[in-house]
Amino acid sequence: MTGIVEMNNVTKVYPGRSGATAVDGISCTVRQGETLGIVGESGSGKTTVARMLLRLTQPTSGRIMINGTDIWQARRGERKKIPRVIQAVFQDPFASLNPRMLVSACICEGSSRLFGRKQAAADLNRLLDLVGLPQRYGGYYPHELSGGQRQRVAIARAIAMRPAVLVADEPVSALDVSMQGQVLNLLIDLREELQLTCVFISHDLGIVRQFCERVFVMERGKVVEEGNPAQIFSSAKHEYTKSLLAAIPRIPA
Amino acid sequence: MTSDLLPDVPASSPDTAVSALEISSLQVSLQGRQASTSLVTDVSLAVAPGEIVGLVGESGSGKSLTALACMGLLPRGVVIAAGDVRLSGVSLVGMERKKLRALRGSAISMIFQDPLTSLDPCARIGSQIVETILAHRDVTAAEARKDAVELLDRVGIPRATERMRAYPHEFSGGMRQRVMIAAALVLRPRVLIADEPTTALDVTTQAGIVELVLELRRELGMAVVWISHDLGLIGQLADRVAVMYAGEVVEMAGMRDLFVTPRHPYTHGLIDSARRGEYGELFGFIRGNVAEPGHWAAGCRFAPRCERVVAGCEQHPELRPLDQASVRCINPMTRDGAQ
Amino acid sequence: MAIAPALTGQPVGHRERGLLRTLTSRANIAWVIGSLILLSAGAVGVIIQVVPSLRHLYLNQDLEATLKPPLSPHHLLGTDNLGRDLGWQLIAGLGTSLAIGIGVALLSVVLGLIVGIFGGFFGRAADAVANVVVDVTWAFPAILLAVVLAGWIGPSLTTVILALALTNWAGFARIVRGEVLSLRERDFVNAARVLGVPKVLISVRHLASNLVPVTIVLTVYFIATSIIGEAGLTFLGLGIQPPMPSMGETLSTGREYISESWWPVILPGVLLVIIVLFLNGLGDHLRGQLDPRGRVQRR
Repeated sequence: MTGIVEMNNVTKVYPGRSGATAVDGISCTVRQGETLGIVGESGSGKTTVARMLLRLTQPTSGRIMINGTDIWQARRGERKKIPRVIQAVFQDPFASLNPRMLVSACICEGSSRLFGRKQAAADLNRLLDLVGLPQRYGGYYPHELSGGQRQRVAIARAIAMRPAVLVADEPVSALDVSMQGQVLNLLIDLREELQLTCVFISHDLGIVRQFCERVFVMERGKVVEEGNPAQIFSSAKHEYTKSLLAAIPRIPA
Repeated sequence: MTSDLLPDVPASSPDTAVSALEISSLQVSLQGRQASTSLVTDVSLAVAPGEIVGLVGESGSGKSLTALACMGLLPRGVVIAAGDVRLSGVSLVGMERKKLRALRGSAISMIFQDPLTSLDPCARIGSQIVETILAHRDVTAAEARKDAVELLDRVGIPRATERMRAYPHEFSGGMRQRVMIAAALVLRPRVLIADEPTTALDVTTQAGIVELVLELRRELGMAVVWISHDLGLIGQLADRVAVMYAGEVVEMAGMRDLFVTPRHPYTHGLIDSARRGEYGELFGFIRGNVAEPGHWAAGCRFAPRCERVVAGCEQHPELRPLDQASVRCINPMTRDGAQ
Repeated sequence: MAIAPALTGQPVGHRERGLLRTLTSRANIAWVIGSLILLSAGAVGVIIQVVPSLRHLYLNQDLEATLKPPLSPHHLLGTDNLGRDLGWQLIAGLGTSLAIGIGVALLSVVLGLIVGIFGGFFGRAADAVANVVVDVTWAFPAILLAVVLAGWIGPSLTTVILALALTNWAGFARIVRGEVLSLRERDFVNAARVLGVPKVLISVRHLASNLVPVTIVLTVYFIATSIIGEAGLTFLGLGIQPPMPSMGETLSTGREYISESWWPVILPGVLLVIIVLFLNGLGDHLRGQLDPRGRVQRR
C-alpha cells in the first residue's frame, strides 16, 4: 500500500446510555500529496474522523496508519514522532489560540520542542511571511487580530512542525465569506509549496469541489458516496448527496 | 388583527404609498464615557408589504444593529443617534416603552440565529405561544390554544397538539427554528426581521426554513427583512438587496440586477467570494480586513480594500441613484467591468 | 468600545490599555484605594506584633483605666477589661485575621488547583480519585477538624489556618474541575495535544493561565470567609489564644463584660462586618473586570 494515511474499518461508538455510533466502519487510503475532502451535515461523523486521525479520540475498533505507523498502537518513542507527521487547523480561530499567549508563542509552541527554541525562533519570521502576516504580528495577542488573521496564525503553527499531512476541520466556516477565499487560497499555495497531503473537512460542497481532488460524502457515520468532486456534482448516485446538492444556495447568474 | 396603535393599511394593496417598514437616515452609536463610536451612520430602507429585502454585509457592518434598532432592542449603551424608523407611517423613535412593547410581536417581530435566545428553556413551547396570544388579544385560553396548534402545524411541526407540551431542548435545531418562527408570527405582524436564522443549520434544513418563510410571506403579506452574510442564500429569497459596509448602505438594487451588474466594487467582491468553481481554480476574495467600528477610513470606507480607487475617493461618497439602483461609489462598475 | 466585539464576534484591532490605567480608571480607583487601606492597616497590625519595641501599643495594661468608653483621652476607641487600648487591639487583631485569611486562601487555592486540574484533565481514574477526596473533605466540618487539631497540636494560629484551609480547598477544587472540563474541550488545548505538548505542560500553560481570573476572585472570597471562620473558631476557644490579638479573641474576651460595656464587642463586630462586606464587593467587582464578557454585560 502506498497511502500516507490509511484507515482500515475504523469505528467509533461513544460510550454511555445512547451508545451512538459516530463512525461506522470507514476505510480509506490517502495518497501522498492528495487532498481528500470529507463532507456531511452535522452529526455525520466527519469531525470524529478528524479527531481520530489527530489522536484526540480513540477509535472503538479498526486501525489508522499514518506514514506506516499505527498511531493508536504505537509505543512511546514512536508516538512522539506523530506530531511531526500530522498537524491540524481547527474550525474556530477564536477558540484555537490561547488568548493569554503571544502570537509568536502560539506559532512556536510545538516547533520549539521539536527543533529547539533557537531554530523555532529563526523559523518564526519565515512562517509569518509564508502565511502573509507582517512580522510585527508576532508580538500581538490573538484577540488583537481579525478572524482571518488568527486562522493564518493557526496555519503557521501547524506548518511550523513541517508535517506531511494537514487535517483541516472546517477551517473557514467561522470566517466572513469575503475572508474565506484568502485563507483557502493560502492553503492551496502552501499545499503546493510544501507538498502537503490534506484531509479537508467541510459541510460546504462548493468549497470541497474547488479544493479537493477526491470526496467522501458521509451520512450517519458511513461513507455513502465517494469519488471525483466534479463527477459527484454532475451525477450524484446517492439520494443523500443529491439532497445536499439540491440544497446549496447558488449565486444567480 | 394587528394592534390598534397603527393605522389600518390593507396589507395586500400593491399601490399603497405607506411602506410597512421605513428606515430613514438611521444612525446608531455606542455611547462611551468620553466619546461615542458610530456603529451605523446612514441606513435608509423602505420595505413594502409582502416584499423581502435582503440585508447583506460582513460581520461588523451594522446589519444586526440596524435590525435591533427597528425592534427597539438595542443593547445597553447603544442608542439611535439620529434618523427615524417608521412602521406603517408611525415613528418608533422616542415612542413610549409601553406602546413599543405592545407593537413588538404584534406589528413587528424578529427571529434570531439562535432560537434558544428567544425561547424560554424552562417553559413548554405551547404555553409560551399561548401566553403571547393572551397578552395581546382578547380571546379565551381555549381559542388561543387552538390558534397555537394551528400555527405549529402550519410551520411544519409534526403532531403539533402533542408537541405543545414539549420543552425547547426537545427539538432539533431546525424544528426549534420553526417553533421560533411560529412564536414570532403568532400575532400576524406586518414586518418580520430575520437575523441569520439559518446560519447555524445544515443546508438541507436551511432550505426548508427558507421555503417556509417564503410561503408565510405569501399567505400573510408581511414585509420581511432578511439579514445574512451569505449572498447565495439572499439570491434565493430576496426581491431587493441592500449591501452594507462599515455602517452604511453602499448599494441597493433589485436582486437579479444586483447579481448581474454589481455596481459597487464591494458588492462585486462579495459575489466573487461566494462564487464556486472547479478543482484547481483559486477562490475569490476581498483583500484586507473587515472594517471595525471606530477604525473606518475617513473618505470612502471601502477604499483601503478597493482595487478601483481613483482621485476623489478620499472624499466620503453619498449614496446616489444609478440606473434602477443606488450606489455609494464615485467609480462604479458597469456591466462589462470597464470604467 | 468593548461592546463592538461582543456584538460582532470580531476583535477590535487595537491594543489593550495598560495595567496602570486600568487600576486608576474611574470604575476601579475606589476599590484600589480601599484595598490599599485594608492592606496597610493589616501590615501595621502585623508589624506591631512582630517588632518587640512596639508591642506595648496593644499589650500595655492600665488597671486604673479599664473599660473606658470610646473617645476617652488617650484612648480614641476606649479600653478593654485590662485597660488595653482597643484601637491598637483592633489593628493588631486585623493584622492577625488578614494574615490568617491570606494564608488560608493561598493554601486552599494551591491545593484546589492541583486537585481540580488533576481530576479534570488526567483521565477518568484520576477524576474518580479526586472526586472521592473532594467529597470526603467537603463533608468534613471545619469545627470538627479544628477540635482534632487543637487536641493534637494545641489551639493556635496554625490550628486555625490548617482547619480552615484543609476544609475550604475542596470547594475551590470543584470549581476548578468544572472550569477545566470546559477548557479542555477548547481547540487550543486540542491543538497543543496535536502539537505533542505533554499533558503536564498543557495543564500549566493552557489551563492554569486561563484559570487566573476565577482564582483571583475566589481568593478574595476565601479571605473574607476565613476571617469570619477565624473569629468563630477563636470565639469557641479553638483558635487564637491570648495574649495574641485577633478579631475573634477581642470579641470573646469582650463578651464577658457585655453587661457593663458594649464597645469591646460592638466595635470588633462592626469592623468584621465592614471588612467582609468590602471583600465580597471587591470579589464581585473583580469578577466583572476579569471576565471580558462580564465587563460588557454587567448591569
